[in-house]
Amino acid sequence: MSSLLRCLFAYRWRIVAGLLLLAAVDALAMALPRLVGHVVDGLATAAVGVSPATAAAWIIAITVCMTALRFGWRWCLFGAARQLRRDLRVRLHDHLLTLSAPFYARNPTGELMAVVTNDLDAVVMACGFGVMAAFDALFLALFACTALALIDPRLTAVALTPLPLIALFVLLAGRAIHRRFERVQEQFGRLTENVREAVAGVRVVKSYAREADFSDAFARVDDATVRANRRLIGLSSSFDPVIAALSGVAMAAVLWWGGRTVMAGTLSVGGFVAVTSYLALMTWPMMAIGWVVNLVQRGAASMARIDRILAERPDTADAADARAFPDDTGVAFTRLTFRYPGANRDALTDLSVSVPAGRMLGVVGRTGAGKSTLALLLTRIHEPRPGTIAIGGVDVRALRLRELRRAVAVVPQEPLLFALSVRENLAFARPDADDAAIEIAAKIAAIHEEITAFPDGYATIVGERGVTLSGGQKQRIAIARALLAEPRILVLDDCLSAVDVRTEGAILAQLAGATAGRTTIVISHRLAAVEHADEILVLDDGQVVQRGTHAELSRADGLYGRLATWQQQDARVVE
Amino acid sequence: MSSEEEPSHAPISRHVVRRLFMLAWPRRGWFAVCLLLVALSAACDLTLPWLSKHAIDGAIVPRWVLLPTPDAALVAQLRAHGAQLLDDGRLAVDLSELSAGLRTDIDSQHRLSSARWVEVETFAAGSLPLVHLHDGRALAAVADWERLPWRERLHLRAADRATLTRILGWFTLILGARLALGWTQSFLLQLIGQRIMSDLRRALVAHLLRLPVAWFDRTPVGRVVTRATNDVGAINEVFTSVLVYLVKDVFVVVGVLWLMALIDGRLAVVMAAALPCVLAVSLWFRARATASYRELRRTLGRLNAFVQERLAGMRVVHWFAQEARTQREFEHINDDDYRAQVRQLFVYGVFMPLIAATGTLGLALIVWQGGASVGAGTLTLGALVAFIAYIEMLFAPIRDLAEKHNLVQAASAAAERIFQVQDQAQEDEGGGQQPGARALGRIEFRNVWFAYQAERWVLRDVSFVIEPGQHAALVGATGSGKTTIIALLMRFYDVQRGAVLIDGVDVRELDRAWLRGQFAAVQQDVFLFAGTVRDNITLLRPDADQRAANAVTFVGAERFVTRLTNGLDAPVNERGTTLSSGERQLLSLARAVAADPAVLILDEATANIDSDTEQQIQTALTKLLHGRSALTIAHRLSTIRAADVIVVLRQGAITAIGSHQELLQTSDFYRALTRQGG
Repeated sequence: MSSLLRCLFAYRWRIVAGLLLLAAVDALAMALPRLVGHVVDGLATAAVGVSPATAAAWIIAITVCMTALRFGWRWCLFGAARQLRRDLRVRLHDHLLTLSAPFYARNPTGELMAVVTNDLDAVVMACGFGVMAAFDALFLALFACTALALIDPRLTAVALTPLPLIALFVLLAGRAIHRRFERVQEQFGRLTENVREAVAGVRVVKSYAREADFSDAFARVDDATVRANRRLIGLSSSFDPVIAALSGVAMAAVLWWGGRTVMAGTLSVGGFVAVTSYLALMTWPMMAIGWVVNLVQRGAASMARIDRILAERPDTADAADARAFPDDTGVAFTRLTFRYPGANRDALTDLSVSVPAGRMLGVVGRTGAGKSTLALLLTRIHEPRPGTIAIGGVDVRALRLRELRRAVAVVPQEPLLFALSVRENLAFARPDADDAAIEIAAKIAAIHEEITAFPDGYATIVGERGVTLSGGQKQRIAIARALLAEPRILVLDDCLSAVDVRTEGAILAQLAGATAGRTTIVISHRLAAVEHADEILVLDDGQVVQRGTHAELSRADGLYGRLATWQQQDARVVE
Repeated sequence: MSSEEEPSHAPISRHVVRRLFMLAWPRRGWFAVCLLLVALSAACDLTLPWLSKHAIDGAIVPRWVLLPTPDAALVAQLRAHGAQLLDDGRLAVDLSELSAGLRTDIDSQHRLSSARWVEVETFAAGSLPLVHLHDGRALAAVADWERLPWRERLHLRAADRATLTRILGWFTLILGARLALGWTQSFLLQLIGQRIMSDLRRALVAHLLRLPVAWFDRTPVGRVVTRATNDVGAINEVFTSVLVYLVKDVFVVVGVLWLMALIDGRLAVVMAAALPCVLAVSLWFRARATASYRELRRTLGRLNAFVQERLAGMRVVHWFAQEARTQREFEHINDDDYRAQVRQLFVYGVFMPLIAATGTLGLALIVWQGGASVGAGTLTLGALVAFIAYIEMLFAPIRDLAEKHNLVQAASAAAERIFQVQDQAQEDEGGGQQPGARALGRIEFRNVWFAYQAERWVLRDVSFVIEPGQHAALVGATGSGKTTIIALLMRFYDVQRGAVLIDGVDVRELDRAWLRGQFAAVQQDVFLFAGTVRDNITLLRPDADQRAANAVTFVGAERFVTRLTNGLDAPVNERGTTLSSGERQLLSLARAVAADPAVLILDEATANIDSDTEQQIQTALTKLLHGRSALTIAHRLSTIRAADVIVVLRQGAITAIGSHQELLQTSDFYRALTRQGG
């Protein structure tokens, strides 16, 4: 609640202006029943009161004012909420950009998206519609009660008794409806996932001829969906009728008590008519109170989730005396041990190796041996312990992060491309790269010809809106993307696993030319990729079990030799 | 977001509307019940202001006038409406009994707005001067009566109080009825909607599963899912928010106009004349609102897609240190969205108050025209109050009309997309032949030519035979046609020329379900469904427990299955991420065992699996292959060497065929291939 108010503080003048306009509209709205009442009284007694024509003219004048003022408060209050949405979104997004890998490991994309969309909406709803409804209710209730009390205090008391029930009903039913609605949404999510799976796995379903049973399974999920919906609509269909009934009860009370008062002659007919009109005006504030409580509660809960993210500090940040990237690109790992947050064993244990500038280090080992962790630590995606990794003799933690990452390019095994054009993806690190440079990089990665065969060539959009790329194509585009960044240190992390052996060989040969003079670390589970490395580390279970050149290792007993034999024996004949 | 997801502006086609009606037709009985309920509750709505009018005119307001010297015709006319000719020649008239027309007639001769009289209790009247009616009732002039203290005044009007109580009784009764009717009707209607959606979804999914593989090749998964979920939901709106309520709205509008006409014909005509203005404002608004809403959806969709992608690819952004640029891009997209938001705010800011204004302008009209009539005595006060209540009931449906039109348009666009899917032809059932419960497993490709797209041949004149029990290896580079051969065998597609034969019968002659029942395919990319391990092994076959347990034992996967917390009941997470790739392979093998196929199809894994599991998989495979024909897309020399028949493919044609030894002698291409990795 207080954090919601803090949110609103930046827009306080716009909001105050909006609230004043809102108060003016509500005050003007009070004039209408009174006018009608006076007309009626004038007609009933043929003496005092306003003539119908004059009253109509007044009503029109008031309507014109109200229409203008209504535009004003919408513009101010809802406008402020939209500004808040824009600004909060930027804050959240910019903050997310600074957060590092451990945070993203804890918070899956889907959940973060829910914060960026649903929670943000809930906050904006509470701050826009919520604020408006709260104050509108307050003003209307205040004004209408005053106006009513001026006419007949006792009648006011009778008329207003049933109304708080509306607020209570909206509050409680609204809450229960929201809960059931969330249940429905969950179930709908399950239903959607079920369809998605059946469609994505349709070839499996068909190849085992299981269509009928999968239809039946869907029917069961569908049944559960209908049941969840039935629970929701059982309650939600009561909403409008119950509120109408409660305000009807208030109307009946006014008819009864007010009727008697008029019969006794202590209240004019016009006063009575005005009371019934004020009563009609009171239904909305009562509903609003119930709503506002729920909206603000949801908004506050959402704001708390947003605040939790905003309070996260990045694990990686530049020190005050951060240094520039050194000229010497030699990399040294010294007694490097690393354990992922929450893991129960080390991913890397006591690894020491140095790669002189311009040389090539090969790292091999089976899946899960800790090879990829090296790339993540070198680029400080995960922060290594101080003193364990140095470039040019400077601890990577003492380097300016931005420069470090510009200088070191990693090509991961699972390349991630964005739904942009092929060209934009290639030039991701260097948006100003010209076509010639882009083509050269694409040619080295042996993807140029395939790109030109796409419907729009380099302008083809990647992903569902454009062309769906194979794993190998994605990997090769990722290689070209890294080359275009002109890194001083290049890390290839098993980035040709989906490319067939012959193409891999060709790419590696080309890369050797392109990376000459560059410090290179090649991580692979295929020995062929590291054959030409100046030194090869063999990792098993996070530990270096062997090291040496290809020639040395091939001769020696050990994992490298076993892997070599195994790979030769079961050599993948063709892709 | 693809353009086809956008709400369409196309005119609603008759054909689509007819099919929409056909969806609702099986539930017509319930719809009729809903219509009845909705009519009754609308009638209740209409009655409440009518009762207020009666309370005001018939009880609350003093309603008697004494007309001096009426002519005989008038006396005769008014007597029919409860008027009584007094001994002094005045005519006592109860105004609440007169119709508007009658009042206008009388008013031209006599002022009906002359001094009022109230009906009083004679026994308590005390010194109050009274006029006695023939039926024992007594009237007192309001001027005299007003001089009494208020308690006494109220006490004297016992008859009016009784009337008020009676009216209030009715009022409460109708409130209760409206509550019950409204609740039941709304619940019932939405339930019908759920049932219709459920029917449609099930039919659609059952239909989808029977569409040919070729259809799925050209339709993205997301689009198919949208058909069965969101589009179905859009259709639902027609049934729950439009169909019945449209009838209700017509009923209410006609009812209000009728009641207004009953009270005062002239005034009713005036109000009816205002309706087109309300309609025009709301239509104008709707058009603008829809346009701004569409733009908002577009910008928001773009923004969400951007954020989603950058969050998922945060590592890439970090790796290339592109934070600043990403910030700028985001701000650009965000500002676009903000501008769209502001435009929408403007549209709503202008039109919502205008729409609210139509209501108050209606009030002004009533006060002006109605007030004059009351002044002239042709309209009662109660009628004026009722008119004020009716005006809102009259305008609301007209305002909503544009909204409903939008819903119908969105639903009809969604329906059209759904119907397009439903109109796709399903796979045929096949020729119907079922040679025995189980095939022997002889596979023959006879001069097969096949192309996914016209004339771009993927297979050219492919012929080979695998005898029952033989193991064949398909060897060739990516795109050489290996996967296509498997797809043709299972009749995912039909050949253009030549024939595929199982046990000597053309696959097109065979019952399709029987045909596919003869195979089990173990894929390289194991597709796991969300569900239990058991479901994934048996693929929802009926006798699941026994089958699953046997299969697990057969492939030697007990060790890892028992390690899972719930054994066979353990859930497999979304996309099977909780299992290692080796374990997934084992599950896939168990799946094949559970199917007990005559022919096994293997797509050999290219990626290395940890050696422990690898060993297990090889052992299981050897057992599984025993006594079965098998067709393997082979990547490993060891697999190829062990095959009885090796089919070497190159660009869709067979370049060599035979055993390992034969091929080493006859095929240079084969020799080159096998030499490469070693």
